[in-house]
Amino acid sequence: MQRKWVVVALPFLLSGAAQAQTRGIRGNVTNVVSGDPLPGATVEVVGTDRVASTGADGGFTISDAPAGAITLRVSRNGFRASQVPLAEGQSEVKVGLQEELEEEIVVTGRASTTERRHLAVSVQTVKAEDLNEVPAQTIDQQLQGKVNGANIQRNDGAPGGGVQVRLRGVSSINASPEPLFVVDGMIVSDVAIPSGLFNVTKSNLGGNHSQQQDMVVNRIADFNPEDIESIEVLKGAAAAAIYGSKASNGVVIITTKRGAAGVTRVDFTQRFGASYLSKEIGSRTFKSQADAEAAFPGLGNLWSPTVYDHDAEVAGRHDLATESILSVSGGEKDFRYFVSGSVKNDPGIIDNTGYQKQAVRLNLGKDIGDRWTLNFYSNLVHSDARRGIENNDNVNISHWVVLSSTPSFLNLNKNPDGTYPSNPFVPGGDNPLQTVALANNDEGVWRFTSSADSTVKVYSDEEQQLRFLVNGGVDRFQQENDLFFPPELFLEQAQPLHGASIYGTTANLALNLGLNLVHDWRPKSGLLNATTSGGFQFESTELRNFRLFTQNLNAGQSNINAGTQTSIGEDHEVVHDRGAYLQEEVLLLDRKLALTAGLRGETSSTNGDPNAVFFYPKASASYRFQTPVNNVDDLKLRAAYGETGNHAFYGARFTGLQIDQNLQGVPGTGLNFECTPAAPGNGACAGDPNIRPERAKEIEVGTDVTALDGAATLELNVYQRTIFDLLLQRAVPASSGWTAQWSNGGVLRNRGIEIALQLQPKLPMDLHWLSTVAFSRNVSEVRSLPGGPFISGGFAASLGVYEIQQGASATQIVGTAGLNPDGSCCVLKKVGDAEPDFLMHFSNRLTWRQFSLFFLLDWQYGSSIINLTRLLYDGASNSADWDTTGQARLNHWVAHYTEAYIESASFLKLREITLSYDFAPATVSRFWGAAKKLRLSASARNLFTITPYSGWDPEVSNFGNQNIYRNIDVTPYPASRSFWTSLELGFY
Amino acid sequence: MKTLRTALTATLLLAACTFDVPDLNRPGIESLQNPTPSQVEALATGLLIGARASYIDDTGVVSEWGVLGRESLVLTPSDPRFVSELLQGPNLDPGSGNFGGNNWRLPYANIRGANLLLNALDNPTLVGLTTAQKESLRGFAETIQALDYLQVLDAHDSNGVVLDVNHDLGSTPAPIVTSTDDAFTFLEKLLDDAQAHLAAGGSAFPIPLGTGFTGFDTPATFAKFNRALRARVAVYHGKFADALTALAASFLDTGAPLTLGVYHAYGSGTGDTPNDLNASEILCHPSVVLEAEALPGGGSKCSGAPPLPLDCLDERVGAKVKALAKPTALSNHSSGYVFTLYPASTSPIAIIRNEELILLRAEANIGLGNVGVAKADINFIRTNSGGLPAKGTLDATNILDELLNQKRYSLLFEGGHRWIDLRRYGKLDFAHVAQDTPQDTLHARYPLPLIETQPRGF
Repeated sequence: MQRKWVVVALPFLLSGAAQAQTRGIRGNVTNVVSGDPLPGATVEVVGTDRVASTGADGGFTISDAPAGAITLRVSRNGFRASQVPLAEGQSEVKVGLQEELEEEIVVTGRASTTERRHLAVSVQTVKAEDLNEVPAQTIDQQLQGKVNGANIQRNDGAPGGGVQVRLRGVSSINASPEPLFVVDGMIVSDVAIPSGLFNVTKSNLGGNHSQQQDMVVNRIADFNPEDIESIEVLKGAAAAAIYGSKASNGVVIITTKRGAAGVTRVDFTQRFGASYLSKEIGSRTFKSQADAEAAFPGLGNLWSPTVYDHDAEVAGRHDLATESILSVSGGEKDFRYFVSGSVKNDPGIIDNTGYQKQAVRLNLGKDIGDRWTLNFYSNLVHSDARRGIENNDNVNISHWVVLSSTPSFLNLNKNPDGTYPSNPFVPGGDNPLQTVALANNDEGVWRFTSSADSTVKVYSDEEQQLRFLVNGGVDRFQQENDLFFPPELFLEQAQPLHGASIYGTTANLALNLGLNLVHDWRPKSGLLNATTSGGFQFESTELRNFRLFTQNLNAGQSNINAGTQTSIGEDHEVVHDRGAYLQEEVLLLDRKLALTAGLRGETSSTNGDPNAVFFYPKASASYRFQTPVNNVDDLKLRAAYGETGNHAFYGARFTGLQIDQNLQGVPGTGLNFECTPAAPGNGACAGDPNIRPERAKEIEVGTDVTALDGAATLELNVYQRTIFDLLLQRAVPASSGWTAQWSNGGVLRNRGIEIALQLQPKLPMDLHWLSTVAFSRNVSEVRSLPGGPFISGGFAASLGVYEIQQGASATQIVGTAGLNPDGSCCVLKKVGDAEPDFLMHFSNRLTWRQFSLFFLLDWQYGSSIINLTRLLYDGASNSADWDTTGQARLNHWVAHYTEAYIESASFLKLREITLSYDFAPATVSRFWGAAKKLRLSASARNLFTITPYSGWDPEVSNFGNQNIYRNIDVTPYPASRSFWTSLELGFY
Repeated sequence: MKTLRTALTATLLLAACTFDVPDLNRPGIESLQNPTPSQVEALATGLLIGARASYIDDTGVVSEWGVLGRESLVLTPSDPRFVSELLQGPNLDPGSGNFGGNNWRLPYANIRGANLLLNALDNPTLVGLTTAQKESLRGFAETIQALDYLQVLDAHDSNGVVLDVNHDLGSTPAPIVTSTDDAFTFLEKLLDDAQAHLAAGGSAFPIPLGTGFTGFDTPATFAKFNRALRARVAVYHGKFADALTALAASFLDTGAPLTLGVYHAYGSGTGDTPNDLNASEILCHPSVVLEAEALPGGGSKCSGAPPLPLDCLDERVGAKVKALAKPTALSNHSSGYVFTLYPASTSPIAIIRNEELILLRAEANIGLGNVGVAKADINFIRTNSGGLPAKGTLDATNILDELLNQKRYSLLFEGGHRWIDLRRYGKLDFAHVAQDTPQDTLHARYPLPLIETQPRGF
């Protein structure tokens, strides 16, 4: 939530002795809420030239201040300046500054920024201290519940990521829902690359040929949350238009920590934690052999009265998780540095799964003379995610696919001789405990991201300044997937080829280069402030992926060359984008009126015509009323318009012929079925040589109000986003040979409202309370669809599909509703909608002296899920509630009523809770002379979830990140809750 | 604004030369505007790759049509629809990609592939192939195309097929033909046309046809395969005299092995397609064993209550089925038998073979009232394939049922023959098919899939 805190200057009158003429003043400056020292603050003695700046410990000294009563002016970027009177003779002072919205600097262009109070669009900032309250594995997970208007959900509970961030509703039918991530000026990749697990599970040979069923991780997971200083979220098109055809889903701008001039500061954090299975879905208790025989004819004789808890047997681990983070920062007058390293080991709740990450970062800044500033950022990360074997599967190896038909009376536990009993209740005999112990699904990533920027003041005088900015960067990662299914697995024994091994390697390279000129004009008359900026960007990405799958492993070796039957998958994509822009920002009328206009032109090699230029304009205005009525400090009205887009998919221009097949060594081609995303109906896909970017227009109107001396702030946004020229896989009659053809067309509209209220009531007894309530609601509607309705995703009408249909919500779930009057199958009707009616977040921070309590509640109301896990349990007559409601539910579905497996995804989660204690610096120093900071905390993530949903967790997506067809539950990795204790030590 | 746009455009175009990126993953269909012999040959081989694709999975022609005709049973916890929809549902879901959609999208993609090939062969810019070679490929392409059309027609029957599909994407879709008579007539003409091309096709194809076509890999011998398909179509169409004519020109030979014929070939090499019909969830329906005729003189072990040991039964059962140590059970269904027909990932699947041709000849003769001739062929199969004694009691009243029973065991699990045959004779009911649970239902034909009807605005 936005930090909008008023100035409260807290001068503490301490002892002091009068001196003649001049005196020395010592003091320190802190953040009044957190108590953290504020380095880099400027302290001036008003009316003199005496100036000092605070060091890393927030301390300063002025040796020659006038002896009489004086006033100090204390200022720092991001905090409102404060005037502190000093009585004659007073020589020590403590100054507490509070962060304030109005002083916050917000990005408004590729090379320009403004103070938040002049901003005419809604941009939300999340600061480091709010981000890192409770440890999480990935950045996107830590943003959950902290960005109003963002629906951020995990796809499953597997270690190592897989989180979807969706800003302001559905922005596309086919494109990724993920916003653009920009880290220190560099556009970084957030692609999600399948591991190749589908080769074994054959998940892609069922009702949906998507390979995204591999529990894919979107690669923003690689960035280390601990290194982040702040995150700015550009939700609307007006704010994001500067990123043109990459920004239709919004933009997330991440700024990492930098050093500040002053004393060297060393921070060390050590954490310990553990994760626990959130809940069990359980299975049927068979009361008699007759019950068992009826469900499993011929196998009833295996019944026994013993009941085994298979959920806990598979997912009952809670090993110790650890995380250590060390950072060193500091600098001199013209040089700044920040270095950090971290090591994390987070075991999963299933044996042989977990997440490990090691990261180092080096950020440097150097001023060369008065005119030239250089910054350099670099980050090296290695992560290893052991993901386990879950999600959809067509061969009966995914743990809960197997358990769906494994009765609770069957003993799966290891035999005394170390072998596992075979499971007669699934073809192939898979025993999940054996699979957990023997099979591997590991994803290792090395990623190096580095960027640099250079700013040269080409010209400056009292009224004008011209700056030349160059920024560029490289983002390179290699993802390696190693999957191993040894021949000893029952499933492998049941197949003619024993043992399977997969090696996948993906190299991704992104290059950015930007050249910008910025001209500031501040005439002395004060009539206006004007900033003109313009520039050119070149961005290039290359992704190359190879997947080797081999079977029949020689001597059970996992090497690819040990297999006798090998298949190879390959994908290669290169995209070149160019953009140029011009932007004007003006402040008028005593800086109360802010006007911005800009235009960006872009070309992309993904478009049918790679030289066609597409334009993305934007314009915005805001006006501030100061103290318009009593108790209202500041009221801003704003309106903005902007356009963004999604450039076409790589390959959407082409109608290809598939070349990876042969007949006994003789090559043969045919229509291409390897479509991304998978074509509707799993058919072949054709391209469109005239494909263009999908485009969004958005109008946003809003207000920001600060009232009661800053004790209350309100932000209200209303927006309408219209997306046209949608990138559609237009359904074509399958008798043509293709089932889909890329084309532009149709109009999708989102309307929404976002309200955030922040209260900071004045409380007695040193109590501080900062409370934020955020509400958002988004409604989408497909306004036109020239090709007629089509199915965007799902498995089959009877299993619930997402149908895109004119006049309907883009995320409606359509299913069968009984037979047609003529007896044919079936009446199709809307049975649910994945989009929630509203989202609410409640964030609270209470501090009392050295204690601090933070908790975040996350409420989603009114979204639907297709629960196919439940269908599998019912299909095997094995659901926990089979005897009461399960059988009737299944029968209803067999009679062609999909609604039997549509459930509510409403939930209320205690997303984060942390209780911490900060020792006073003096106390800390007494224990350890060098230390200044010691904080102990205990925290929990997802401590409880209140939901009517019967599955593991209503945050679920079998197909990974999807704009449309999320909320399909097919035996995912179960959700967990985690508990942490942290120790933070600071030396400076 | 206009000036600004021009300025930005100029900046972009000045800033770099063109940044076009071609398709780095696969050749484009536009390349067929100027076809080369290697492209044409790859398209031709691609037809065999495409045609075999819909036979192998548990949702393919062999396994899924087998379930509909109760030859096979698929029991897998990962997808309840093999029971709930295929065995129990009141009707089949047209909105399913795999349950039924396969029988439409795969053959039509291959039919498009054949049309791309036929158009390329007619393209005057194609040089490097002789006129005879082009003719041979035309005959080949149209024959495989007929096989694909037949799959669509077998699956959807009177619910409809689309015949006139050689048009550019985006043109008005051709009508859906619900008259099976019209559809069969179209197929007969296509096969006859193919035969004429093959006759002008010289002595060899320019491409190898793989091990599935051993003995049928020249235009002359391939034409015998063409005639065999033509005979099947004629029988299905009820044109029995035509069928006998076609059979005479086919490879029917009571002196040759019953397995002589044309097969879909599968392979284990990189990029080849493996045969997955040995998957453990694909079971033999218990009625195949329970209803099999016992061999005479089996002794005491063969006199108990059914199910009898497999070696007491019709030899075709023991040759194609084996018993499991423990039954596989799910959703009140269960079976203790699996097929041994396709033991390896390289096992071929019959397209049409000598044994079927003999039975088609019997069927055509029954249709023409030649009971005596038909009886001889049926007894030939009984004795030579089943190890059963010849049946002397066959007459006009019972010979059709006997024929269908022989087809059931001779063509067991080879492509849904049982399901198609029972439907054709109006016998797809629980009098002729075992009903495992009272909830079980029978489906006669697939609905037109949503991937066809929805884009047409139905």
